[in-house]
Amino acid sequence: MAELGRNAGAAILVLSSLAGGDKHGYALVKDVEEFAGVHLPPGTLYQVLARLEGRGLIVALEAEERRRPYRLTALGATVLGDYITAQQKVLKTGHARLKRSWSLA
Amino acid sequence: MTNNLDDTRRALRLLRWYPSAWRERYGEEFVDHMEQEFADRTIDVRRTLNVAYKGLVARVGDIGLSKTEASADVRQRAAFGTSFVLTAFVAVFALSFWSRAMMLWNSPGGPRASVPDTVAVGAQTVMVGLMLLTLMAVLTVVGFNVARQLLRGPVRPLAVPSLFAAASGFLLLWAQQFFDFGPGYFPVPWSHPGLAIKRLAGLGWAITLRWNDLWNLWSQETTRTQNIVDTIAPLALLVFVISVATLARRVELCRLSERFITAAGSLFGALTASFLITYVVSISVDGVEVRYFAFPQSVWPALVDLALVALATVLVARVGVLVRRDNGPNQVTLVTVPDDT
Repeated sequence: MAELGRNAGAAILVLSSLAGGDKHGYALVKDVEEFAGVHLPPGTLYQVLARLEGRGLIVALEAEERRRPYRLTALGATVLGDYITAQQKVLKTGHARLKRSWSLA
Repeated sequence: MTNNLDDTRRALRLLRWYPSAWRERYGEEFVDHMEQEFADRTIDVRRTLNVAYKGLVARVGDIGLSKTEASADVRQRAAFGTSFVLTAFVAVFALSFWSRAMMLWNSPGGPRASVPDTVAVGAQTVMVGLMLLTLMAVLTVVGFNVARQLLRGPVRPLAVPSLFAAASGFLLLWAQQFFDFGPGYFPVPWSHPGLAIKRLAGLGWAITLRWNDLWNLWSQETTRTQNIVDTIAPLALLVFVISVATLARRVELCRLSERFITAAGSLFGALTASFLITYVVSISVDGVEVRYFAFPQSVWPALVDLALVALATVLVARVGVLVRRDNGPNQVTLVTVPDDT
């Protein structure tokens, strides 16, 4: 996941949020809070937005007054999809091993 | 949503942690975002610390010391500006060290220098000479391009740094009047290289004396004006160098100047690293003792100097490496935006 750079966790949360539709910064924070239970602090959020925008994974749309919505790009959707597939594989393996060795999960 | 004046002021204060380019791009939405955050939670120390830290990270990136998403041109200019400031710092230190070492090495009746010392002083002569010539050439090139742009416009991006550079440069030149550049230094006898280099070393020592001694004690023997000038000269030098670096970042360079700046940036890395090596040789072989010129009187000042020069050299090298390596992210330009998600 080299495309995501540092703070890959926060980047995935932002991409996942934008996968549901265009959002400006504060709406993104609220959405992430709702689906992941994580509060993205403003410094981290804007660092991630700048990086994702610079790498072409999201684009900034026309500002509505002072709020600027962001949109997931095709490249961003591909990167998010790849990440989710890779994580699903990890989860599946983890589940299977826990079940086999520890009778858990 | 709370949107009172106090929240806007608080948000604007937090925005100051970020560099100007960042503020220009994200400032408005960031202030709007912070106003909404304040409505949720008025006071949050962790949030403030997060903004401050990320702002500083953005500033480090802005001066080319870490990877950023800025365009290649902006990154290169930022890297050059930082290299220039750091190399100027090393150059002042190097000139001061070399001048003292050279005067002692060249003094009649002094202790005979060992071969490693002779080699180190010789190498430093070349390094310091090249460093100063490169810095002077950069000043000339930047100065020429700044003058051209001031005549043709746009003037606004260059106005403030030009003013600072001119004022601090004038102060530095004016400060030199307090030193007697009399017959002991001029004329430089170019036909006798040994004597010429000794006089140049004397000049270097005299010039850097005021630039190095940041916390020099006020002397009863000198005038009040001289004491004030001596105290602010190092700060004026710092302001001058940073102003020139800012001008180098903002000025529109012609193609030839652009090439020269790129080459000078690479040369800075090589020169600072070479000087560091010769400096380590000088202080480790216990050869040229420059105690008569108050340097270094004990091991600790020498180690502090070594640490500072090494830090500056490493930073120049890091900036250079990032410029060469950091061309990837902005290559991703083939982006299609779907109509709806």
